[in-house]
Amino acid sequence: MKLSSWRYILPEPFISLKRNGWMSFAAVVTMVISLFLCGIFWLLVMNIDNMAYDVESDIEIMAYLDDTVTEDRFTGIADLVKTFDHVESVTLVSKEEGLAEMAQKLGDVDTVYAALDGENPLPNAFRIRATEAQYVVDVAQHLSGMDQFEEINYGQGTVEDLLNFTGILRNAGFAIMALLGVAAVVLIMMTIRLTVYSRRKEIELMKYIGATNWFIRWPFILEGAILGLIGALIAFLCLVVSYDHIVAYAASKISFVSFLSLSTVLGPLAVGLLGAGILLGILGSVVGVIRFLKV
Amino acid sequence: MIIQMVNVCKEYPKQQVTALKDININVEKGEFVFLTGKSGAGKSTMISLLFREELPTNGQIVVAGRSLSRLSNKEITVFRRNVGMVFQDSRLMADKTVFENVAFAMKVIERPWAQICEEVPKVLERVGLKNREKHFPHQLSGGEQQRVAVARAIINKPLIVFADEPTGDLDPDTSRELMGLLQEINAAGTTIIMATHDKEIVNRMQRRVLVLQHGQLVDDQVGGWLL
Ligand SMILES: Nc1ncnc2c1ncn2[C@@H]1O[C@H](COP(=O)(O)OP(=O)(O)OP(=O)(O)O)[C@@H](O)[C@H]1O
Ligand SMILES: [Mg+2]
Repeated sequence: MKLSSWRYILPEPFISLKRNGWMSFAAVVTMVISLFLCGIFWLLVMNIDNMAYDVESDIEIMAYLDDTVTEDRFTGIADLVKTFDHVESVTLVSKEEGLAEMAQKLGDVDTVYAALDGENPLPNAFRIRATEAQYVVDVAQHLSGMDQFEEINYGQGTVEDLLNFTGILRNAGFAIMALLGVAAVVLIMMTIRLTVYSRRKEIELMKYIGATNWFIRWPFILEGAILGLIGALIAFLCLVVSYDHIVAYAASKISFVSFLSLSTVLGPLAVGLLGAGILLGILGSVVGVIRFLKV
Repeated sequence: MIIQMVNVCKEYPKQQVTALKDININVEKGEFVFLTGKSGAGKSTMISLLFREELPTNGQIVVAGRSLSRLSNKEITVFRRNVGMVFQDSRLMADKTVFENVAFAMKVIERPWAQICEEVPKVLERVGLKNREKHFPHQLSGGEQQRVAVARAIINKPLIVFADEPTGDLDPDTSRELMGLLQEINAAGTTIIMATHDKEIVNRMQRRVLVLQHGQLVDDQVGGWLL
């Protein structure tokens, strides 16, 4: 392609977008709706993932030491446990700390101490965190094999259920996300192809006049990219504007969860939407033109 | 010899139509050839074969030294740049103005903008569309559209012009002007193949006339209307 050809190619998409105004408008609207829905759902999935992560990261293992284990061995045991796979941190919770925590949870510190008659029935313990919630059970199993520990407690039963639940939530989210994504891809590609299809006679004619395939293709590619960019940009702005409102509303109804702030999702959202919009616009054009170039 | 057709057949197997049967012709450079015959005789088919819009089912077609059945995509493009085509249904680009439609033929061969701005108005004046540059095809009459198509076909001074009923929608006066234009181009060395129904034009011009009947070439001589 000679440089002088670009002079003729570059203005074409803009002229054509203007002259085929209704077609361009319809394509942009389709693009905005599809990408907006995908974006909203993606934000939802991200939030669900974040909430699940929040809940999961609260899971910890309490490993109660056998009474016969003397204080001088604590560091040794802690260091050993730290070498296990998937162990994030090991913290000693001494008898005294344990009692203090417990008393605080129960509220009335003095009453608790009084009730215990000055005795501390709690064993020394380690509070162990796994690198990820899914490893909690493995780590706990590993710990229960050590005879330095009397008892291992991580909320057996409840944790498995919780992990199952968050797993299902995540998978369902991603599955619907994928379906929605495919639907959007198909819809956008079809719309762009339709804008090309409406000009199939012109494309064939250009070939008859002696235009090369690229001379014909480029304006359509640029047009698709511009349509994609405009559609994605509008969808992105709508999402940004509505996200804070949606979060504020949701937070007022459900108080026990935290939502992702706009600033943390802005980057990936922008890249995802604009990337998808431009790419699909180009792809739709390229695919749409192919058939009519074969004359 | 600029055009040679040897034993050319064109069938549409799906519709079971034989549009052309065993056509043999030679055309010398600079000739002006009329292609006549009743509706459905195969005139448009013959032109679309010569223009490499369609491929023959059988036989050989050589135009301007190129065998049309063996052209790559690139060669087809180059070939079409050297021939001008006026379709029976003018076929303009609907979303482009008259000026842009004609200019497009110059843009694809990368002519500089200054030259385009100079030559397009000239050729539009020659086809009698001086003040219609900014109009869109749907704002023109059928005859006017056909004249834009002629302007587009001749602007690059091609070796050959194929014209399928270019005077079909024109009144006698405009049609005479257009024929004058084609004659001028022909005098400058361009070979012209023109399909037509117009007895009056053929009789007046006294050029070579090919007559098709049910897809067969039944007559080929210089003179007037032969049917
Ligand atoms: N694409 C096609 N598929 C099937 N049959 C076709 C096709 N194109 C042309 N034909 C048939 O081939 C025959 C010749 O058609 P053609 O268009 O060449 O006629 P013509 O001489 O140009 O007629 P007219 O003067 O009406 O333009 C006709 O019987 C037509 O029906
Ligand atoms: Mg015809």
